[in-house]
Amino acid sequence: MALPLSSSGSGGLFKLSKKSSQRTLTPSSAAEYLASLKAADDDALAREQARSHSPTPARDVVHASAVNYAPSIASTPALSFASTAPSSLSSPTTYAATLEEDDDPLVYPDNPPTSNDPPPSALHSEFGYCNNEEYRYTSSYRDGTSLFPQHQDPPMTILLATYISYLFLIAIGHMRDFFGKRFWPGYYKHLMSAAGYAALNSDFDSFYTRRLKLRIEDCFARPVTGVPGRTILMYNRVSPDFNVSFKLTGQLTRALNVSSYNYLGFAQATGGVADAAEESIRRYGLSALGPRLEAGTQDLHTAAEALVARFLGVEDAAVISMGFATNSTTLPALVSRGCLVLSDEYNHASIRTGVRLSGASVRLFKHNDMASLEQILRESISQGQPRTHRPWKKILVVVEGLYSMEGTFVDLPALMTLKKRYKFYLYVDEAHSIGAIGPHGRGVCDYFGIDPTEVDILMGTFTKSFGAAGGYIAGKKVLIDKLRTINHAFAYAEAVSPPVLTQLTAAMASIMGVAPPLLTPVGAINTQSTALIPYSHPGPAPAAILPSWMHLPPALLSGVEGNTRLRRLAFNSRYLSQGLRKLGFIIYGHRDSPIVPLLIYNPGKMPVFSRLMLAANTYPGAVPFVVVIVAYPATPLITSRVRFCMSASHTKADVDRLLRACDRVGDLLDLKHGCPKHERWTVDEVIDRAVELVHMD
Amino acid sequence: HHVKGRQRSASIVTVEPVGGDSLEEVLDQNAYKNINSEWVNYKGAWVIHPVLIIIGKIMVDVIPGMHQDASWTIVNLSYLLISYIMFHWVTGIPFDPDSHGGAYDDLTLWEQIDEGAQYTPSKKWLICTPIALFLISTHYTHYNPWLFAINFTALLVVLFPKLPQLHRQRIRFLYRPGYTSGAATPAT
Repeated sequence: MALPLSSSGSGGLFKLSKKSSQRTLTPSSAAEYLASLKAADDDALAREQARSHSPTPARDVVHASAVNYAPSIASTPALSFASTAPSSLSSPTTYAATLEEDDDPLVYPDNPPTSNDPPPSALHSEFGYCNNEEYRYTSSYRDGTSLFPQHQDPPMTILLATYISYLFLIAIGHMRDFFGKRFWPGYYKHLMSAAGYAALNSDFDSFYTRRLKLRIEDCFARPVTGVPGRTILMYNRVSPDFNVSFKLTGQLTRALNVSSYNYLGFAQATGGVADAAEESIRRYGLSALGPRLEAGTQDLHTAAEALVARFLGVEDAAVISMGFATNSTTLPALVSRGCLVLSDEYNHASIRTGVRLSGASVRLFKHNDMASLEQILRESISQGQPRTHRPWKKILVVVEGLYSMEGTFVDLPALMTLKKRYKFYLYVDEAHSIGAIGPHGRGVCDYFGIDPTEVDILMGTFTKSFGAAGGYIAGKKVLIDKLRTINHAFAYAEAVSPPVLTQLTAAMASIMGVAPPLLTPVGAINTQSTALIPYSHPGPAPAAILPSWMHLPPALLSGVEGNTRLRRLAFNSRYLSQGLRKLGFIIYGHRDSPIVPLLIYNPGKMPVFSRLMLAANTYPGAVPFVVVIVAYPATPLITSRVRFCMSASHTKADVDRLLRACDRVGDLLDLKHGCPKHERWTVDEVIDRAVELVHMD
Repeated sequence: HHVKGRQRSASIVTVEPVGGDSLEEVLDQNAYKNINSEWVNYKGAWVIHPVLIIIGKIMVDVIPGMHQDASWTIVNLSYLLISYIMFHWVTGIPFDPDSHGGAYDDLTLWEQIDEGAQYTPSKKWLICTPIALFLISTHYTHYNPWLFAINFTALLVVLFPKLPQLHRQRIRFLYRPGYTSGAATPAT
């Protein structure tokens, strides 16, 4: 029985607080389920009557029976009013409008498909539905845009206030430690030596964690459930003792997710890629059961490596089960004592761990500053190794494609010029840029239009754009063959598990598109060998590489959906970064980057930003946002920031909401120190002129 | 770490070098930029010194019955005390022990600035500020010999560890080699 769509229109204007998107944990027994279903029916009836009686501004009350209110399962009994469609459990094509969710923008699209449009293939709460072809953009490097990081400075008062804030926090922290150890020794037992034993933890090393981070601990490590797609379901929690411990309240909040690395939106529990992963579990089980060199290599591994190599346009690739370990095991295999590694200032911890394990000498050059790199190169090459002044065995320059804290791309064209001149080896870590950047999604080489075979070693991860896990190394076949024998991960670490491999294979094939299978030519020597299958870069994946049992839906197979996802991501990234700049915020990074860091500077404003966004009362009709705040010591002292991660799963309406919320919070917290007042736009102007903004320089 | 001079326990004052140039330490230090000490080069890090001194002076002047010479002496001594504790007493980095592996545990903040280079602009500023504050305080104490002696001694105590010759050297009184405090990282 179909429920009429709510006739109260958008009650959003009058809803002052957040939606009743609060649900409890699933019931544990049938009796509980039936009882809660009856309660839900009563609720729905009561609400229907209340709505027809009076148009009072509805405060979203948590009903007395809401404690037991459970989301129903897809097949609800026919006579129930509460035929909800909780996004994690129903079939993707039912947009059953419900009394409580019909105007929840997190679950129901703002512009739902009409009967003329094809049915949506994904749940709106996991991957937003957006049919508007205007909201698309192709990400590629515009000649002439400067890649040198240009950091605007806020007024001096903000910087001085930041220093004074840290001074206060540190002074108060030291005072509390001092008096606490003397008056409440029970709480500090682990930090003080006793009975001849040293302290369990060093109170000095943990000072920042205990005295600064703990104060805002409720903004970090929030417990969640379900896929981190367009929206994420969080367990609400409270702390009775100032963030030392947390208690779950039993309710859940669905929030718009701008904090997960989900660039192409493949973090879905439904859809063709997820179905393929499920099928692989039935066929292969859960584990590869061994290291690669010792019976852990399956046909899935060979296929995935061949596919990755073709995706990137290089000769061969190796796939490792952990992204961090890819760097930390490959770098020691490539360089050793007597080699020089020139690493960017802001490289990831995995690169630094790998370099330190290798024993090679390392020097840091200023972030993305090719002049600094050249100066260090000339100095190191002319001086040679320290003390002996012998020439270096190898010089390896390690950069990242897209830096996750800064949102900047590596200056690859200038780097290639330097490479031709000084003849060093180049290692590009494309953890964030692979799959997300470039007109075909092939990473920074695609973005800049550079031949990927010119880069010696391409490294990347599958965590961010493909919804999988693990990392890869790609390059010449000689190099990869040797790496497979000396890389520790191949010898000792477990191989990538089959469902993860299938997820990355299917996601990668969706981005590339799959070419229809060719007839095998007469006289082909070895059709099993993937190396003989022809491929032109960038192009669709040859069907012969993919496992025969993997049946992707036609939209994914043809590459149309992959292409749409890429263009949606490019539009969202550009829109958000341009929009925030026009609103007056200081934004780091390049305009095409899906990572948008917004500078906050003052440590006190960070938790306020995070909590205001989550509380969803920044403007009428706001939704909760879950954001990532980063401060010292993960960033330099004065540049605390909030880092937004755009995704193809967001719609333009979501970015509009984010812009409105940021605008309001920015006014409250005095964060707008970017462009001067007369150049700023209002948020309505930004939203109306979105397409123009994206195509603007 | 070897101690210079006679190693008998009769020595009242000994000078001990700390830190080291071993390969592990160099690699650990080079892996990351030392953000514990980088901030002295950022915008506003120099201006904050006079700003804090002025704020401190105002707060001290609020006390009723405060004379100018006492006020300036208090401000001078407080600034020297706080800057001494911050730059020359506390060693190590108070966060992220995994990233630098204890390579800076024996180095004070002064020795960490600019990766141990001497005569850098930040170090010159940090030397000039206490001297300037001392000169202002001698003016306002009208060259009273007692106050002058106190301020001057305090200034010398603070300027002494900033000398390049004392880079990574520790002056120990009644040092007994073989006696260690047992703490791997410095006490708060």
